[in-house]
Amino acid sequence: MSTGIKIENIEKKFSTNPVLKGINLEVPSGQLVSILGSSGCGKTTLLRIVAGLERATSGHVYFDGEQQDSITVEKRAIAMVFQKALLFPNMTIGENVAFSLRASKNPPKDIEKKVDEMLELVKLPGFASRRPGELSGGQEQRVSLARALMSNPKVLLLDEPLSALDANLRVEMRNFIKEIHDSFEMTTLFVTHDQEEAMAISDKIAFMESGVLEQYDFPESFVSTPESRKVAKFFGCRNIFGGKIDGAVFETSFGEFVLQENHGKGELLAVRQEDLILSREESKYSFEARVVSWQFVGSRISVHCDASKTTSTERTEVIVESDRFADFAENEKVFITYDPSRLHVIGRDN
Amino acid sequence: MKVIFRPLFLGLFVFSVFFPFLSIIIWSIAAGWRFPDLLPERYSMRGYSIAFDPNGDIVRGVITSTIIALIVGVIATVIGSAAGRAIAMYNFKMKKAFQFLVLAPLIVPGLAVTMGIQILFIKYGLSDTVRGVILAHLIPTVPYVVMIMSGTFANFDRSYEEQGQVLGASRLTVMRKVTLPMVLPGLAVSFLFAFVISWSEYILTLLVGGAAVKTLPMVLFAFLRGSDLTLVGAASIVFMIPPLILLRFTSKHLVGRTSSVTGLGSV
Repeated sequence: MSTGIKIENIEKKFSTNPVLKGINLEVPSGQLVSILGSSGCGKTTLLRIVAGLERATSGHVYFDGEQQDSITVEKRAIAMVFQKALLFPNMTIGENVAFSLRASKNPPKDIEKKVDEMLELVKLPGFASRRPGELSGGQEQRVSLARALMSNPKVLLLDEPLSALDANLRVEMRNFIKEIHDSFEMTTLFVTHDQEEAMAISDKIAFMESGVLEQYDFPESFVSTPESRKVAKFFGCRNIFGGKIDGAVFETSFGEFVLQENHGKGELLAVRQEDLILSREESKYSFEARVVSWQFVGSRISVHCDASKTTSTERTEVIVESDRFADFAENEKVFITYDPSRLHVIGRDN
Repeated sequence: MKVIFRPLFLGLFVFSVFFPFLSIIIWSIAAGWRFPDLLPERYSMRGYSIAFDPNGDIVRGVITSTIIALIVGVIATVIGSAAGRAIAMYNFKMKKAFQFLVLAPLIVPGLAVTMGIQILFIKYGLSDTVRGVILAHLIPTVPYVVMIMSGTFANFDRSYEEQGQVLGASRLTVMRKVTLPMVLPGLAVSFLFAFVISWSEYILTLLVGGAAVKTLPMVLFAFLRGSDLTLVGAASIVFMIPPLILLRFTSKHLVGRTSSVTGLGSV
């Protein structure tokens, strides 16, 4: 059985410097939730509070409705994996994996068998008698994960466990973590600064910025319906236009966008660069612009356009990304077509 | 030229280090060694038979010194490790002052301090007792342990302890199974230093222990005055043995893989 986590109004100050400004978060039992944010946003501090390694200035943490504030780290039903594998250098791999069993009051008799099974599970069979220094970074991190799972935690806390690994290994390891999570079905909090990583494996993502939980949502929602400018920018939306809603249209300095029903309220419009199409012909939902420059981004091409009206002194840059590039010339007049169903009005400007 | 100089220098170096020992070894088995002779005419084990007399002063001195040095070694290592850890890993008010106070005995002559605390020792009945001598020996030993252990703990990553805790281990278990094995080289070297300093301490023992606590250095000094050089030689050899035995067991922490502890590097 796994455990649901409830984080209630957690605040944390280091001396007078507020690091967490009232975080509320509920993680249903058995889910994998990523806490995403750039460095210094407080995500690791939040995880350490859930683990009990750090004390919150105010607020509470509940596991299955049970308040954890006065429960010490070692008594909480958690296990945590850190950025570094932190394998105890004075023990073999097997002894490392068995650590939680040996540290418990009633060590089970079949420790060796359990260790072998666990090493098998993390795809390191026969490694029990090796020493930590003989393993690669990815292997060490898998041992660290095995060691954490061995304590049979109800909540698994992962503090950027992949950020010390190289790119290819990261992809492999994140899938592996997802696999492990799915087979154990244990509630997992995964702290990361890598949005791709978070998008790939999470049931939901909690996005933090400067000690505030900006948005807690399904991965795809961060792309389609970001709630604030910061979220939109972090998730790679490059076109955020200022303006105002007038009936069914959003008015900007360079033209009007036709909105669909149930659009939100706000003074910012997010249009993702991959939802725009460049063409020479005008269409029902298009506006005029000039091609300024272009750049290859991987297999795609990113075209910078200037949509500002000739009468306006202010330049409005629009970025269009597509997988092929018709031979537009520099300074050529083009029409940029948008899809009304892909427009999103952002509520908060921060 | 180089080919000649290297062995020559090495030979000189070894000779200058070991010559005093050599003469002590010879003296300890000489039965009369007069001036023009390069080596003694006759040899005898008289020195050693007196030195190893179970009821003699030397054997009793060895026992007293060993007990005192072992206790001082343990206490200094425990206190110094705690202080060293605090200095290396935590920030607290008056940290600089604390650091200075801990290391002050290395700078201020121990003799001056002892003159002052002797009055206190007499007042609390510690004068002329083994307890008092042990307490006095902590003055020069603790600072060394603090220096060694603050260096050890500065290189110790506290995350290992947190890793132990999040795996369900209590603080005591974490200390026993995680921290202690990782700082063991520092502890071994600390104990060695404290033991050796206490073992060879003379002035503090004399002032605090008076004539009542007869450690080996006290006995040795008495013999030196007696000018029986054979006996002095044998007693000196006995004096050197325990630290050498201890060094044998801790030397692996002084050099080699874990040499960062003392900064001596690999020799």
